[in-house]
Amino acid sequence: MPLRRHHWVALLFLPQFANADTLTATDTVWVAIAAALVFFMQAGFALLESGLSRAKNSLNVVMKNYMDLCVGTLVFWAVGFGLMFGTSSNGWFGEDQFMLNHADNSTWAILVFQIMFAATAATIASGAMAERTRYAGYLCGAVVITGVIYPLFGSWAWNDNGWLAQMGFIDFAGSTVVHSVGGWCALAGIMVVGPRLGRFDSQGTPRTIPGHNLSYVALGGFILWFGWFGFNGGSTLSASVDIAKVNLNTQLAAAAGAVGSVIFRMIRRHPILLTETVNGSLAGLVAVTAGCAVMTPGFAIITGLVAGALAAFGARILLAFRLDDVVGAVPVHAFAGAWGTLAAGLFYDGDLFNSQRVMVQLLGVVVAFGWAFFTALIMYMLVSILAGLRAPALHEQRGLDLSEHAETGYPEFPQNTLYNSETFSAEVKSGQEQRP
Amino acid sequence: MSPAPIRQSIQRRRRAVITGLTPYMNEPVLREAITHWQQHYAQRPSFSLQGFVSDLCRLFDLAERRHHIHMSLVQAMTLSDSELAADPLAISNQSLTDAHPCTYAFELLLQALWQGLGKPTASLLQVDQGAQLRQANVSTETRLTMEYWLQAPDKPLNPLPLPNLRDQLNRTYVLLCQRLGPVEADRQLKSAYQTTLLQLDNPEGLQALM
Repeated sequence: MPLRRHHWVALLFLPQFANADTLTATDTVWVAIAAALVFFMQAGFALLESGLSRAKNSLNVVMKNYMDLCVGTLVFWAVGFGLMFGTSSNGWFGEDQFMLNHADNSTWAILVFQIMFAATAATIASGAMAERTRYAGYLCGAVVITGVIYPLFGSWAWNDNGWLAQMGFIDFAGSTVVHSVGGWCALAGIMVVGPRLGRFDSQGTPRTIPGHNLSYVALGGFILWFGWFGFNGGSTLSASVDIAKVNLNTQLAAAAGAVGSVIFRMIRRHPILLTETVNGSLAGLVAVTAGCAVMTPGFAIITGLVAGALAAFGARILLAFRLDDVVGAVPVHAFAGAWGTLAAGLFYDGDLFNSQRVMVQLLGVVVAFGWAFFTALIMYMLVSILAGLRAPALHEQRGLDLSEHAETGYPEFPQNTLYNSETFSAEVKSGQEQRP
Repeated sequence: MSPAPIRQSIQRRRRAVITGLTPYMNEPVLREAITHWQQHYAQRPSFSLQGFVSDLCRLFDLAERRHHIHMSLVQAMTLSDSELAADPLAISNQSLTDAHPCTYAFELLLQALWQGLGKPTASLLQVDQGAQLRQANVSTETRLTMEYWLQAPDKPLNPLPLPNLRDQLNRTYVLLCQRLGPVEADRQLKSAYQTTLLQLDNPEGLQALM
């Protein structure tokens, strides 16, 4: 069933809803539930990223996911929402709705939904930069992403007066606005922070550093997949029957993404890894996010298939450039997001392969890269100089759980007896060196 | 000649070198000079003293005092044991264990690590360790002490402050990561830790080191 006209407006120009109490009670309930589903995706990210990290860093990854949500929530409420959805007279940024305290119910619903989106954009970098990034430096990055980088690009694409939106740029739920922006920030982050100790040998050959719990990875994948029904389905912003197609496309693309990843591995005669399979499904989800409302299920499958293979291929490209992305966030979010945004233009239902639309989509993809990557690159460089981004080698040796938080994720496991958290805590508190 | 008399001979000659050079050098330079002697002349016959003095003059800009230094060293070589200066590089295992548990634990830990790696890899790691002592920002005291010990790892390690020991352990870990990868580095370090733990009556020094 095709989307009704007023829903199209809602899909493409979210702030129209932010400025007037246009959501019915049922719509509001659906958006609130969808926001909770997107919130739950944070748990998926935490599990996936923690599982792909070594045990000695698992807690630190979870802490970063937990706190970038908290910090991102406050910053987006204070600054980001206004920049993104405030009245934009020039098409470049919103000028009001900062630190909202008085608004209608529709705006509250949109605000909480958008807070979850902002947190999603911010948390993408945590997995890529895991196991060697300082906690405080990372959170500084999360503040800038949720306060400036994400909302400014969002205002271009999703504000009713945004210059990209005015050109007809289609990004239904944020393949580019949320995922590519987060992915490009992650790319900048891993370039500034550098690879983990020993990730590449002297010849540049990558060494495998297995995650400590692959069951967590699979569980995280399932949770993210589940939450994505809120991410995409909720972006209809109305409790309408249109959700059915949106979520069907979401499901199909995720499945096709996993299959695409598996096919890629089989063609290359490599073992089929759980981590790449999960990432394949996530790449499918990311890719279909832009066009799940505007393409038919068959094209959603193609979008997902290509995205899954692209994520697997992209991971190898990064390794060839000695870039250490612990969880594969850049290929999954940045590369697949870019592809999905193009696919939304290519496979637009009823107007396939319209070159003009595809060019607008391409422009959006390129602008997202140019803005997010270079801004994040400068930002992370400044953070590195001013606050410190790279954890010292001693912290990498001990693990960031202990060095950043003075606690360990698995205190009763024998491998962690190497480093005694009680001794470490006492040492930190006393600040006294013991005799040699 | 058996190894023990050779060691005694080297120790005595080292004390003579220290005695002979003390009037001409401050302590840091003296330590550098002793390390140089240890590395290049300790195993050579005593008549190679001329070459050693020549090196000192070149390394420390002492050409004007060359004759005096040479004479001082020759005279020191003829002194009796009671007249020679103490050997700062000589220390017994027992005193290390009692007074410097962290240094002793460090010594055992690295020996266990080298043993676990096998001789070829351990040799490469020791070369890396020696090289990074010169490249990285390491205090002179630590560098000389470690260099001396890496030359003769069967001898006791001179005591070092705990932060320096931790730093050295971490640098070794980084080298292990670069050579073997982080997963194998963690495994080797853990294995060495457990081996060392069994050798110690009191594990506090080892735990503090980590």
